[in-house]
Amino acid sequence: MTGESSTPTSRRTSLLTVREGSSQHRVFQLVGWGIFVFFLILVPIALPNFRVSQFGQSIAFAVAILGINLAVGYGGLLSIGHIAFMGTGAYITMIFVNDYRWDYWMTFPLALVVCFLFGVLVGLPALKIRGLYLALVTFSLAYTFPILLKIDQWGISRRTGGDNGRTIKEVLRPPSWARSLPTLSGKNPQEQQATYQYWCFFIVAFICFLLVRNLIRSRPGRAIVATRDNQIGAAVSGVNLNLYKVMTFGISAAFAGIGGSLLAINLASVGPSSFDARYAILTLMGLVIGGVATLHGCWVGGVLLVFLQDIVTRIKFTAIPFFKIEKGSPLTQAVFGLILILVAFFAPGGIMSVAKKLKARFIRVVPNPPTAADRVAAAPVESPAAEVLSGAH
Amino acid sequence: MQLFLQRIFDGLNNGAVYAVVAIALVLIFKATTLVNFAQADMAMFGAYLTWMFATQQGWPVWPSIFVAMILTGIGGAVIERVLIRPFDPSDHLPIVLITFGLAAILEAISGWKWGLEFHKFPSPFPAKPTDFIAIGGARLRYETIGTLIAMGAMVLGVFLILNKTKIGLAFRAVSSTIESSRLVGIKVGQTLQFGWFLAAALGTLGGALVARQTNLEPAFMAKLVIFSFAAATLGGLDSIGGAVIGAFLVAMIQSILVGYAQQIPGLHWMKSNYALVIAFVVILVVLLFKPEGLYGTRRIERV
Repeated sequence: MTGESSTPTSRRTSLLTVREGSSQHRVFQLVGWGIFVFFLILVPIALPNFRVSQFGQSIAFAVAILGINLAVGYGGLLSIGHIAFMGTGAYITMIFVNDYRWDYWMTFPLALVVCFLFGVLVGLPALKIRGLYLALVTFSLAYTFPILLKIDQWGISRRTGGDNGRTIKEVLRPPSWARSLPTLSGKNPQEQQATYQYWCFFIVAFICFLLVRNLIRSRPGRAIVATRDNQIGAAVSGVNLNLYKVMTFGISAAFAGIGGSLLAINLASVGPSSFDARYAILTLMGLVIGGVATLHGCWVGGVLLVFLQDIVTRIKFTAIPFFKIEKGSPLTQAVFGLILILVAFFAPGGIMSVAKKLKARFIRVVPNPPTAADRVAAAPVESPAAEVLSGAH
Repeated sequence: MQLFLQRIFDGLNNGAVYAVVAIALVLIFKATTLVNFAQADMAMFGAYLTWMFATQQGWPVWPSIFVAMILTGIGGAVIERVLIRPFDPSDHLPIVLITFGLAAILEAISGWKWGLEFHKFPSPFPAKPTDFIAIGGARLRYETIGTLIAMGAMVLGVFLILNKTKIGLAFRAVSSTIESSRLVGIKVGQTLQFGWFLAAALGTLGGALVARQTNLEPAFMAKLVIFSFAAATLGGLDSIGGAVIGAFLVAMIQSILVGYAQQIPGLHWMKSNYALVIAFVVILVVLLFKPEGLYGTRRIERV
């Protein structure tokens, strides 16, 4: 499930072997980043504005999937209900921009805080409910969320727009300096707007990914993963399970909420149909296809989610006899379902694990041999407890 | 009083349908310790097959239901072998998503094959507007009685299969301890397949019973299945009798709470489509305070 562990294939001879942290390794890392940045800049330059906007949507989904990943992938809390947090984020952005004339940027911290609290609230049952049972509860949350938005009381449906949702009146307008960002034609205001949105989204996403990366590598992050891998073992090692589970849920909900806010800006309208059980499953599928408990997998999942939907709605199925195809059929989900089943069979770690294996064919990164100082630090300490333990055997 | 009775009768009708699907869920949970999120769509598919036989081929309703049950049962057994068995049931995420993927594929297939519009489903019971017994002014429809009888027959059938046949004994053994069953020579794989066969066939029956009242469209069971989840959770996910009782309890709570919400201050926004909230609350409360449900086996975890 981790996809991070070393695979037997990496033992096979690869073209190059580099030592971790060596200058060669640094160069390869830089080249990897360079390729990423190259494509990142290429998107708004080489593609028309609606494609740029789709990439913006991919980034929004990537952030949401990152949040889901934190709970499902790293924390092992099988939640199908994160769509509710995404929806909360999106609705907060929409309502505060529309009704209170807030700036887009001001809604992010609010969405973050509200979704965190909402996540903690939903996470409380997760202390007692585990595995499939948690999936059951969160699945019914995903089903209930769109219905709660339509409640015709306390002004809820007036604010949320009920069945149809509401459009966001304000547009994310690029300031004058941003109009000179490189785009395909260079003059079209729509292109400038899409490009500006794309870069803004990227900055937000970059910060989110940096935060999660550092969290995972830190002591609390290791505790989260330990809770997933062996709950009792983690508790024995001094991890406060309750605290960590609730916090994992809250933080992951906060990131999902940010993803939802971005999505609201991108879609320019927020309605219950974008945050129903169908999307809950689609985002989870994006996560699994990209690669559970990997950071790059979230990007892959986000991009796949948007562009597969796009491709599927464009395919002309009249070519297939026997089936009559109508617009709006649940085809996207079926294509995702099929891909998911194939991935589960042939690449259980998702696309990222395949990429890792491919990379291992060419470049192998080996960890540094421990130095003398490390050996001293790692040497078993002669303590009374150790004697008792060894004496017990 | 009349209204109250009417709500009880409505609740009985819904309860019978929830019970059928909840039993299917429980059978699969007992067999493979897996919550089958594709159950709704398997039932939907079976209902479509029934509809196809009954209206397009012109068969009588009950033979159509029977043939559809056999066909979907075989389908269920195949699904178990192809999609479920290769995966480790204790690793929940892939298997949950596989059932979701399966649900999506079934939904898409029926959308392609039979269209997304509503179809009228032939009634398996007399369903003219005059077909009811008046009790205290409330109408107990023949449909309700028929659904209850079908449900009762089904529970009896499942009970007899599990308790009086050899394969039923094997099924109970496997759902109790897989390793020991394998040691005494039970073919575990086939037994699990049998569980899926039963569950898929029962789901089809449930779909056919309810399709007449809701009309047929690719998502018609998905709207109901949350209630069956709630029923199975309330009764205990591994108890068949519990699922039946849970189903009637959930249906009664739904029918009465939605019926009287208008009179309760602060709840008058609650219309029938908010009943899902009730199901959510039931699932949440049961899992929080009595995770094994009313009649389920308490699970003890060891390191």
